[in-house]
Amino acid sequence: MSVLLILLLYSSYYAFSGVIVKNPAVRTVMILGSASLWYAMYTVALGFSGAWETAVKALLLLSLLFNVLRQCGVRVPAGPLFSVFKVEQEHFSLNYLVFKPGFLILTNIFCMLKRLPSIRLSDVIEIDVRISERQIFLLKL
Amino acid sequence: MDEKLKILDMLKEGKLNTKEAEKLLKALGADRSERPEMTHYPKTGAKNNLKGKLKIIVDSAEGENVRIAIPLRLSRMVAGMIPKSTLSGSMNGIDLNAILDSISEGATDFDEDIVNIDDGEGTSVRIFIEK
Repeated sequence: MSVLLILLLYSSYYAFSGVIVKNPAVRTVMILGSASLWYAMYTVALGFSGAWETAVKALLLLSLLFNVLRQCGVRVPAGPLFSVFKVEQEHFSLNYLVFKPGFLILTNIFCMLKRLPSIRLSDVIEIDVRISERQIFLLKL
Repeated sequence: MDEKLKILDMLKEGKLNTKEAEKLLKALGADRSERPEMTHYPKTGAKNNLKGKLKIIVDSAEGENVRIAIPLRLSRMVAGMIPKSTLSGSMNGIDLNAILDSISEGATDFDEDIVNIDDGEGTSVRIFIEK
């Protein structure tokens, strides 16, 4: 039950924390929402024991660190196992770090249906589309 | 198909009786079914061994910029990644899909840029292979 709860909370936290609104008031509300979700996850993690507790706490601390850096506008290097997905619009931006092997499973199912070649873990795809200074789409897979 | 028509014509002209015509048609059908279809041949895998990267740089006068770097074997995916508005104004009638298809089929032996267009009004398209 705790595992299910933490998965549910983490999915919400992940989706919520990737949205960066430029309006300061809305941004503050979003940050408070993220912080509440994080605290709820941390409380659930306290119920685990042994290696599970350590692993979940480490994941939560890393997520928190990454989120704080992202909110401060610091670019975090993705590493080979993560992909960067970023959309910047006038009033908000979406900024997600996606676990590449998981993302590739879904993408390759789509490629298979569309009869496109499959993407390997070693493939590096970079797409940078700038419609204007304030509209940017960036994918580094 | 021609062989079948010939047999039917010969039957019509009385050069063959029905049994002979039936035998010939059956033989023709069996011969056809033994032939493998082109699509059943195994793929050589050459398309999957393409090395290098396809790079596309599009700068339009309106301020739309596109930078794409993609492994050659995935080059067919590029067409959907570039905004149509950017392409229509900057490709001067060049068929990007045809270029991408030929690259994904293995045509990668280019010494210079595949496409290098500069209209002098701030719009430029450069497509090249980086090995």
